[in-house]
Amino acid sequence: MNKEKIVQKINKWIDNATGKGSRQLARLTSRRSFLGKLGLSIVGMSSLPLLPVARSLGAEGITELGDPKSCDYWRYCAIGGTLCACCGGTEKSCPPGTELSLVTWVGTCRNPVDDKDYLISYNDCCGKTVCNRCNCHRTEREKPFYYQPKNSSILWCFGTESQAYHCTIALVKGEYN
Amino acid sequence: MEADPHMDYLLHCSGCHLADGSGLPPAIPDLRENLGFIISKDKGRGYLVRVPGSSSAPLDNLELAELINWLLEAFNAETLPNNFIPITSDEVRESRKNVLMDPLKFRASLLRD
Repeated sequence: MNKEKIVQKINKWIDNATGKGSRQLARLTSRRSFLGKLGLSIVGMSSLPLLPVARSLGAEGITELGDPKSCDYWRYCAIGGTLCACCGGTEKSCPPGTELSLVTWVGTCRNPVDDKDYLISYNDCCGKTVCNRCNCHRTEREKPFYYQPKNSSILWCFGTESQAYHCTIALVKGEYN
Repeated sequence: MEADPHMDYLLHCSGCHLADGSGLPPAIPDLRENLGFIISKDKGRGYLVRVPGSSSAPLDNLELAELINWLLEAFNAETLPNNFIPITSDEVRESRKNVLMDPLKFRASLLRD
């Protein structure tokens, strides 16, 4: 068998294999089901958030706009620390392996979407060494250091098993009025 | 803006005492436990104003009076004395002048009596 014949044989084998495959595909699927699936995937894509700008109507029931991994995010108006959103958690949840502090800084931030003030608590996530990503220090309506409950620099890993500070989350506790 | 004692509580107290008043005893007192008993004592009314968290809160005398009265009604309705008279802003003004040097010692003596 010469080289030419070998190539012809391989080509024929490939033709058969692909032809068989596509005929089988055509038999099993209709154009309508293909369009249906395509449509579903397009709808699915549109419901994904357009990162880094996330619109959400979360469990806290408010509409928000912005990037929870940025110090400029509205909830962080008086935050001092590193953002859990950049450290394996979210703006609302601690990263795995850390413990949520119940004792917190509480203040208010204005949500630019609805121009309302909300009670915000900055809960620290504790028990691991500090996360060094997204270190923020914002001081809206902050009070001096001697007024500790309203100072942005106080760490709140009290009452937790370990006092090691890892990062901070920002929870909306309700509308302030 | 009209004073809203519940909002003032959430903003100025709930960070430590938590939204439901349960705190983290023994470091942070449970506000649902002894307040009804404390307010029944002569020195107790002033004590609730004089504790550092109360007296140094950025609230005026009327707002602080309303906040403490709210705390008593909301978290301690069952243990509140029948003849309870709400704390007034004048009372708060007088008590705030009298700095509490050793809150824990004072508290222990109040609860012992």
